[in-house]
Amino acid sequence: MSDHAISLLRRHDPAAALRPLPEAEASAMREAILRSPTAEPRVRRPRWRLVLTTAAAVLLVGGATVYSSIPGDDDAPTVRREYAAVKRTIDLPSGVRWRPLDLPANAVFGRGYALQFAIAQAQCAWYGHWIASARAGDADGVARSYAEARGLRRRMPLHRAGQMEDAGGSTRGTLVATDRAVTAAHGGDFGPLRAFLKANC
Amino acid sequence: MSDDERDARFTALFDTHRDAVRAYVWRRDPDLADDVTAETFLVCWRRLDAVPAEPLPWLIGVARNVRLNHRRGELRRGRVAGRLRSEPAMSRDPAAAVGERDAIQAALRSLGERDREVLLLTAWDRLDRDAVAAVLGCTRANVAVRLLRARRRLARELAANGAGAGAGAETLFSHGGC
Repeated sequence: MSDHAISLLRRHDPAAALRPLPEAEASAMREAILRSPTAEPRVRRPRWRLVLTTAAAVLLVGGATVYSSIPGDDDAPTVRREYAAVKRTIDLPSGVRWRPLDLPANAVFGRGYALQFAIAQAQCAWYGHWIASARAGDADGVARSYAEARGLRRRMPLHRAGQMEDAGGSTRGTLVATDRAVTAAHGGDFGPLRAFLKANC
Repeated sequence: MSDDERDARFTALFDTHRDAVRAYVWRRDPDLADDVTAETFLVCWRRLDAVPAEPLPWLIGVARNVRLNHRRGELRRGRVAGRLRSEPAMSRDPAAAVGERDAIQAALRSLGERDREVLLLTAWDRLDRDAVAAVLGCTRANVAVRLLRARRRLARELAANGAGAGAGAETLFSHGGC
């Protein structure tokens, strides 16, 4: 025998007298575990700030990128005309004013830039109004903000995979993130909206 | 893996290893045996994809962590002031008050916690060195060194205590190389 230490300890194994778990108890334990939820699939937490910042970058900066070599983009006068038109179709909360467009005269812009610039401003305004209304217990303000947020979301154009950047619009990820943010706020969780405001407004 | 396959795999793991896991805990913390066993298999169920082909060391590793978490919780609540160190369960046996068991208990207490765990995983839980290494998250070589040290220390302590089992332990234990 080469290992008497092990043998000695095994002679005094306290579990030698341990009775197995009775089958009924074992079965109950097993069934309880089987009924418990399995681990949630590892879903990446939406990176609100990143997604929404990216969205804003696409909307406010990327869309304004100069594509002088690509025919068919909007020039500054076109964007100004569109901006004037689109502002008439979007409401802002009382007291909030549209920001002026500051466009280089010789630049060209992605299509729909004016619409996206307006939507981004309106989202900042209505999300802020929504949070303030909720804090103040203003049910009408909350309901109006929710309706406006949904309306703005419906107007966000989709930038399809494979399209050129100057096609404008928001990626599907941005649209999904926006939907989730609005849905979360409607459920009382304003975290995603606050993240949007902090990142973009 | 389909739901049925998951259920079947878990059931097989549970039925095969529950007694070994429960015994592992019972030897060290009888009061926690059933709770820790249930928690261990709950982790197993939730992380079924992570369970390796040789599941027992993994399960015992989980049980060890669960048990230590319980202990830490107890310590935070100040409930085990006199039980700061891991004690094998044999001290609860009335027979431990005298003789060989008492001597072994004392000798085990003299070991460092890690060395003692290596020794007991080998002796009581009957794990080989690879499995002990898997449980403790160390290398096989480290296990071998600790096991050798633990055996020698145990032999010295038993001899020093003048226990019957310890009288010959110096020679018995000293050549049990890793």
